[in-house]
Amino acid sequence: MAIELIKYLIAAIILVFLQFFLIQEINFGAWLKPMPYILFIFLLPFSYNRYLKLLAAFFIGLLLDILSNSGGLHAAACATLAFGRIMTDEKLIDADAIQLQGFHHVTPEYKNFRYYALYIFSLTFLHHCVYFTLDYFTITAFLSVLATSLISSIGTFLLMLLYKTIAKIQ
Amino acid sequence: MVFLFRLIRKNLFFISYLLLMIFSIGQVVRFNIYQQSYFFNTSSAFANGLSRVKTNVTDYFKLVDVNKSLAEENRKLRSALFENQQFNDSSTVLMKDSLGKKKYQYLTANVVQLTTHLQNNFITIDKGSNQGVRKDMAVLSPSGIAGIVIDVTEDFSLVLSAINAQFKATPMIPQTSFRDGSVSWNGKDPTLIQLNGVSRFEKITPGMDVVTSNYSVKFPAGIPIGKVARVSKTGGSSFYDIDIKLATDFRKISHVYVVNYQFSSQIDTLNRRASRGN
Repeated sequence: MAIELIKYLIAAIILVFLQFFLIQEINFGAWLKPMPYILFIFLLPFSYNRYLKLLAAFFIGLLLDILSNSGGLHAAACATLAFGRIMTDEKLIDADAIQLQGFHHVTPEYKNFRYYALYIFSLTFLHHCVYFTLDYFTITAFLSVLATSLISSIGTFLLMLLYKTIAKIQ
Repeated sequence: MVFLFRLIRKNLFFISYLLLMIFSIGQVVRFNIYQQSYFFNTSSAFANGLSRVKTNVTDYFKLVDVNKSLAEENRKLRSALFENQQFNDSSTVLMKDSLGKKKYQYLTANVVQLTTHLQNNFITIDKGSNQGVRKDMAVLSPSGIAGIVIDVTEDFSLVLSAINAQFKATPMIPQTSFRDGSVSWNGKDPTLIQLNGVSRFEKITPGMDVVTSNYSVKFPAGIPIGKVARVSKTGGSSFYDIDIKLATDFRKISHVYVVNYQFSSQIDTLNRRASRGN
C-alpha cells in the first residue's frame, strides 16, 4: 500500500511538472487551455480512503498553483473533481463490481470506450468549469467560461488519452 | 448538541471538502482584491527555486528572439542618440530628457517566472527592494511596455503584467490628436490588447502606432504599446472596438527594465495635498 502510494505520488508529480514545464508553455489559442495533469485524480484506486483521495488531489493542485502563481485555482478545481469522482464512484457507478473484475479505476477496458469517455469527460468538464469560473471571476463572462471549459475539456481528454498510450508503450 | 455532532459526523466528508474550497477560493479572492498580500506568490523562495530551473531551460529556446529584440533596441537607441553619448557600463543608466527635469533611472532584471495562460497574469523578476525596486514602478521589455510592480521582497518583485485583466495604461496615437481612453486586456489572446473609449470621430486605421501617453505618471511617455490591428464598430455605440497587437511578446520576454521615476514621490505629495484640499 505504502509503496503503491509513493509510486502514485511520483506519477502525479511528473504529471504536474509536465503541465508546468510543457503544456502551459504552449499557446493553443484563446479558447483551448488543456490541463491533462488531472489524469492523476482519475488514476486514484477505488480502495483508497476517501479523505486521502480528496487531500491528495487538493495538495497536488496547490503545488501547481504555487508553481504557476495562480492563487487557488487548481486546488479548488482539483478538490471539486476529487469530490465529484468520489461521489460518482459511490452513488452512480458500481465500484465494487469494477474492482471484482480486477480494475483499480475506471479504464477503457472495462465495459466499452463510450462508458469510459462519458465518465472522464463529464468529470473533466466539472473541473474546467470550476477552474475557469474562478479564473474569469465575473458573472458577465458566463458564456466565455462555458465555451472555454467545453473546448478545453475536449483538448484535455485527448491529451489524457495520449498520456495513457505513451505510458503503456513504455 | 448531540444532534449537531451527529450532523457533522454524518457530513464530515462534505464539510472537509467545503473547508478546502473555502481556503482555495479565499486565496483566489485575496489574489483578485489585494494582489500583494497573496499567500503563495512566487516571491516565496520555494517556488522561485523551481521557476529558476524552468527559466534556465526555456531561456535557451528564447535566445534567438531575445537577440533579435536586443539588436532592434540597440538600433533604436543609436538612432535616438543626440550626440555620440556614452552610456556607463553599469546596470543602472541615468536618462534625462531635453529639459533636464524628468529623470528616469532604468534597472535591468531577469524574468524568473511568468504566466500567459491565466486571466490575471504576473511576472516575477529577480530584483527587489535591495536593488531599489519599489511598488508602482513601471516595467518595460526591450520592445515595449511589460507591466507595473505590485509587490516587492528583498530580492524579488511581482509585476502585474500588461496581459492582466486589472492592468490599465493611458495610450496616445502620435499620428492623430488622440490622447484619451485606456488600454486593458480582455483575457482572450495574449498577443492582443484592447483600446477602449475611442470616439468614432477619430480617424484611426490599422497599422498606426500606439504608445504610452505623456499624461501617464508611471510609464515614461512614448513607450510602444503596439500597433492597431483591427478597428471595428458595434452597432449604436459611439466608440470603436480596437485591438492592438502588443509590441511585447509576453511568451518570449526573458529580461526587462524597471523604470524608477525619480520624482514620483513629489507627484504623490501633490496628489495627496490636492485630495486633502477637496
